[in-house]
Amino acid sequence: MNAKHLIKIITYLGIIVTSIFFLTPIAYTFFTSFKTQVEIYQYPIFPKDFKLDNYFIIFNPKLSGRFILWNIASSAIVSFGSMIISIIVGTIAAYSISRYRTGGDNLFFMILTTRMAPPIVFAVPIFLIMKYSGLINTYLGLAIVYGAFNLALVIWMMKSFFDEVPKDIDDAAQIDGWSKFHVLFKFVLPRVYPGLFATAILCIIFAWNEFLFALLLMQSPYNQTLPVGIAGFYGERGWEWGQMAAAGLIAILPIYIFALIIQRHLVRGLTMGGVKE
Amino acid sequence: MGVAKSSSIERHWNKLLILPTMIYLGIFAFGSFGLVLFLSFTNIAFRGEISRFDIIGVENYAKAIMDPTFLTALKNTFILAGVAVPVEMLLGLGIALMLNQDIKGRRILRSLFILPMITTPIVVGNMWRLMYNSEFGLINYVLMSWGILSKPVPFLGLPETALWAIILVDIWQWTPFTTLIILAGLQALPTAPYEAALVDGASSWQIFRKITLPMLVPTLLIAFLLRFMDAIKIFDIVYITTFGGPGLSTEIVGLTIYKEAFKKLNLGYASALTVLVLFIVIILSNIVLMIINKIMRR
Repeated sequence: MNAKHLIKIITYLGIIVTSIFFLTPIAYTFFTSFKTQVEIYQYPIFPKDFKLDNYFIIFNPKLSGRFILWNIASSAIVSFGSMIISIIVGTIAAYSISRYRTGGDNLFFMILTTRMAPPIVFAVPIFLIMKYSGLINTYLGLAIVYGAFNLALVIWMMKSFFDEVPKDIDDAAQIDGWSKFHVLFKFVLPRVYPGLFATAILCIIFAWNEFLFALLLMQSPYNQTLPVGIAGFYGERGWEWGQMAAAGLIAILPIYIFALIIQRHLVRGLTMGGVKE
Repeated sequence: MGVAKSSSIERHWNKLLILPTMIYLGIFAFGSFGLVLFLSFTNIAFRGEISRFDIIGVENYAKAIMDPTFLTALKNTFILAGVAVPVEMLLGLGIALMLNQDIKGRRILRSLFILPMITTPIVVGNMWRLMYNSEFGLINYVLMSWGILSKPVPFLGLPETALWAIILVDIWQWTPFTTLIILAGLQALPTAPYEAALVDGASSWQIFRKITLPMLVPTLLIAFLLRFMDAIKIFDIVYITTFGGPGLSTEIVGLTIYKEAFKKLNLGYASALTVLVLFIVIILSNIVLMIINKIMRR
């Protein structure tokens, strides 16, 4: 019994240390967002009081010279738009692969490799493609790029959800005389709606967080996405740390809420299907 | 058989469904690759518009394999992945073992522990710039009040510490990933061997060494390989914290390509670097897929 107690104690100590390690940077940023530029140097950890000054400043272009509201709108439009593209294109492909094994293992692996490659290797060609197709500096252009990057994720996730729907459903509907179109959209798809929803949220999270292509393709302060908007918080008095912290929290809050909503399927998506629950 | 069923849409239904994906990825992934491969043999530059250019053969490649910046970047990238990923594995294993026990609030803890990996990478970088700051940052404050440091250290601003500071950020951000995979692996283990071991009166350590660890090997390998392939992609964190500096101490391949293409505007040379990086990644990912396939078959 002694060893068991020891393990229990070590476990709880470990949990506490881990929690501190994981949560401190987030909490510290949270506290910093309530400090003025002067207070940051006076109060090393906790703010004197929870003043919202930084939040008011960053939302006011006249005071901050930034366009956070525009950035939020751009991020929302691009994330949502790219999600729609990759969900539509990816879901039907996933159904085809799940039910018909279209293209065999080779095609499936080829699709997956597009996500294994570092995004930077697409930087030069995609920049040129977008520049000379006139899609640079447009929401559509960036949404198409994110759609391409999320496609492999959607196909992988949705294939695993389709695989869980018994094939008998397809067969029964076809025997009843329904066309293949109806089999998919009337009978099979409704059974994977929870998975579809989770996949859609994951697409939004990835697009919301993306930085490199937003940096390359969006060049006006009005259409830049949030990560690009908050990448440079440099003002007359040097780095505006408090405002930077506030903007960061604004950026991650929706992500945390989304993650909470799809908790159950999050693990499967984040580990690229490495894990099923 | 109805009329609809024999229509050509019905007959080619499966191919029709996958066609948009083929076109989409065809243009983006494989079209991009063709374009970048072609450009890598040219001296094309970009100043607002693309310049006139000549085909110069393998000159860019000859330059690349002698380029100290690129070679340093490769070295740093692999040091980062080579140090951070094993640490993430060890921590992930430890945390997963803790979470796998019957403790209170397990679900809440797991949700909390996911936060670093879903936080916007640019924001992660900014968070750690606050943490590491030498004038007010929490890390310097704590280390000095404990008497470990006598004067503040700008961890991200010194060539000796900057790469290690970024490695710690990577560990913070991605240990949740290894934890999740290993935890799922633990929960999928069969219970029979444990019951037998308990009957035999084996100690906790013996059970871990002789039962848990061997059965967990495939999971550990997959976590390691997935994570390693991901670690060499690092860009955002380095961009926002050090931009490769001081000097070349945190230069990584993603940044080298970015700077060549979009700061120095040498698209041709940047393309050659891209092809080289892609070549390395393809070789690595083939090895990875081969190993994963082997494990899965066992």
